[in-house]
Amino acid sequence: MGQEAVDIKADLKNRLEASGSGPSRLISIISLDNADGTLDLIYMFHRRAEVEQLRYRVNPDQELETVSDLFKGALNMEREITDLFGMRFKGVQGGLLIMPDSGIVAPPRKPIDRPEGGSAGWLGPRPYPSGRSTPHSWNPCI
Amino acid sequence: MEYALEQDWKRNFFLCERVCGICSFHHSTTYSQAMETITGIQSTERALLIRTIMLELQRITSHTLTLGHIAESLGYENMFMHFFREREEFMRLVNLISGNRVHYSMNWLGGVRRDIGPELARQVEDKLEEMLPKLQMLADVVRRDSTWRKRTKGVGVLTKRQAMDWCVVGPVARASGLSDDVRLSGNAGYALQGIKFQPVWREEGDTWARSMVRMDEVLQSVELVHQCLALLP
Repeated sequence: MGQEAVDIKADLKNRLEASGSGPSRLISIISLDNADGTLDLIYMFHRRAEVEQLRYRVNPDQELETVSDLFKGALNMEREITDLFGMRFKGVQGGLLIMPDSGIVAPPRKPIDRPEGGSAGWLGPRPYPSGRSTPHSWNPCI
Repeated sequence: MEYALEQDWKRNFFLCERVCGICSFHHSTTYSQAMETITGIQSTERALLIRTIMLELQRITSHTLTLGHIAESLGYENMFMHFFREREEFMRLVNLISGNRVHYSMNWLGGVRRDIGPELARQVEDKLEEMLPKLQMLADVVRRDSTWRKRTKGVGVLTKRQAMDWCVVGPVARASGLSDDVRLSGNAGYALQGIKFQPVWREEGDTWARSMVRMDEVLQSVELVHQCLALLP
């Protein structure tokens, strides 16, 4: 928590323009839960036979600018991140992988390790068929 | 699956393969490479070459499956049967090497769980020699056959600009004028000395170009497997 708002779209645009090494193609956006109330968004690009990554640490409570006007294919990637990690992008609706009224919210998100007495972090509802609340309490091996 | 992946990193080498039955080995190779980067454990050159052989054999089974289904969609049932007949030979070949037809279960941290010894290498070489003329015949059909061309030329055109905008990857991107190939990044054994490889790509962007890119990649994969077998230390 306490993460500063990041303007990913402006930063991406600046970096891609500044590099001046021909067009870049977005391959994928990977989302990673750091279990401390922050998410990492990793933008992967293919450029001149090289795979490059740009990594941003974001507060999941902030609403990000969509990059789908820079790369149309980013729309479905952002919808997937909205469904699976609860991240919000301006003008982007979820419902790609999870039905909007299913009651399932951001299932892969992890509980936050927070110090005693610290403010409550993101612990959205995460219903799971087992009826338990966290991935750590569910072990298919047992 | 993501929950299951959190449970046991050792089991994940096999679990990752279950993402897909057509590109299963690619998923476990990706996981293995990620784990090797994290742990700093390096694969031996032999293991990298065996991985590359299996990746290319799986590319052949994947592309011939797609080409067979393109033929079926064109109403060309006979070609569908041809593609699947040749594909079956490669399914048996990967079964001979790995003991499995779909999920090879060969990857492990720092290497592979099955070797390709001299006798097996000779069997693989023999099978490739036997299959190459058959694959070249199929490539000739895709390249020249009037039925195939009439039903695919100028159909479903994806321009280079559209491919860039819509974040297209793989053979579909390479059929739309993009020469990118993730193998050029040097993963698995593609960066090893002695492996010669240039991406197959075309500019047309239509269904015919996508068929031809896949067909030419199948022939290229046969050549890559030959190169890897020759380099096995």
